[in-house]
Amino acid sequence: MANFTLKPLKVKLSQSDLMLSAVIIVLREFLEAALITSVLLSISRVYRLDMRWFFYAVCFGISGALVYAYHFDSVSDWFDGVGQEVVNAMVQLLVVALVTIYSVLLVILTGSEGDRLDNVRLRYVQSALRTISIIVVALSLLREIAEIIIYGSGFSASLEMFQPVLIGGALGMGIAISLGALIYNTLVNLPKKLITDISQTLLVLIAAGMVSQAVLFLIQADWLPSQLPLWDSSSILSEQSLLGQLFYALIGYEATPTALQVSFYGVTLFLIATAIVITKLKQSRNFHN
Amino acid sequence: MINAVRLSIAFIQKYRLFFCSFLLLTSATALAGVETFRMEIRDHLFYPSELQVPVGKKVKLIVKNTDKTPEEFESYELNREKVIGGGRKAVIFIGPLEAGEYPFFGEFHPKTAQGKIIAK
Repeated sequence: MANFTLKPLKVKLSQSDLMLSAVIIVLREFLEAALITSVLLSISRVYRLDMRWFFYAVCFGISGALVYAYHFDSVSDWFDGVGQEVVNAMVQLLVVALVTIYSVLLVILTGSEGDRLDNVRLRYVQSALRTISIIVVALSLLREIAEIIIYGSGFSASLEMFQPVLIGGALGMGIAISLGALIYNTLVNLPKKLITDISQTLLVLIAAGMVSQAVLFLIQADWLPSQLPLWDSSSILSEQSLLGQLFYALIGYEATPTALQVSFYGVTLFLIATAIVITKLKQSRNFHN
Repeated sequence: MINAVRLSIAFIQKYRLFFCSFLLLTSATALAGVETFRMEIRDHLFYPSELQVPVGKKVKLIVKNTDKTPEEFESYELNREKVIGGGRKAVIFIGPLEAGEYPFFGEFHPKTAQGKIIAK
């Protein structure tokens, strides 16, 4: 350091502090994306869909993230300074809509009619499942990677600070990918029927969690009314604990949700589950005819 | 499918009074003024690091980041997170809060940037 100035309030960050923070930040971001990616990948594997969609999703995710990060400041100023929340919420809701369609298509693919679907319809369903997978994974990756790019750009000035952040980020990403791989390998080795049921359940829960997140963003933006939290379960499971973070990524766990969040969560669960059940009933009716 | 849509429309029309009042009540707060508080991020620290807000009311927090690098305002207790670019300012709505202390931190520099909102 060329100039030494005494600044009593300044805390010197050690390199390991920086690295540890980077690990945690990047891990948290990638956790959600890793989860939904591994669920969609395992379904593709089990139903023998072409898994190249994953490669396209990663490419679109990275390029989209670069574009979003570049325009981030102006996007944040949209809608009187709440553009960030609105865009994030809309992306989440779009993903939820796509996951709903995906779940219905999956029922069609696997239902009693699945073996008797004619080739044309089968190709349609498979192609739709792959396309939705690309969009969902790309959008999830886009948001997370953009934030990581913005985070990393803040440290790009000095190599001394950038190195630990880079290494920590790589570690965090590695951990998230390992977790995703673990989930994937666990799922694909289960019996086919069980995989479908578990995946469907996970997708519904993930979707409900995303809706809750979107609602929270809109409350933060004052587009939806804010209320006192309905309950405080942080003494039972803290959002800041490891398990709490996992449950947040998995089912959208919130320690202090508002009534609005809880209602939207419940309604989403109900609607998607209903869509799945109705499709199953229609299937069995067609089958018996 | 069409029948489901018809049924939903009929349902809304039947209970239109309820839906109208619900929408009016929830939007009534938008007509009332919202108190604004300002905070600054300088050298990866929050100024002020402790901010007092009224209990039970929604407030508007304007955070100005005077650093050149971005920071993320985040709080588990408040359930808020927002990335604020270098030299930009951000609008965050908080509350209504019960009486108590609600810590927040800068996620990009968690060891330095910390603070709390005190609802009294």
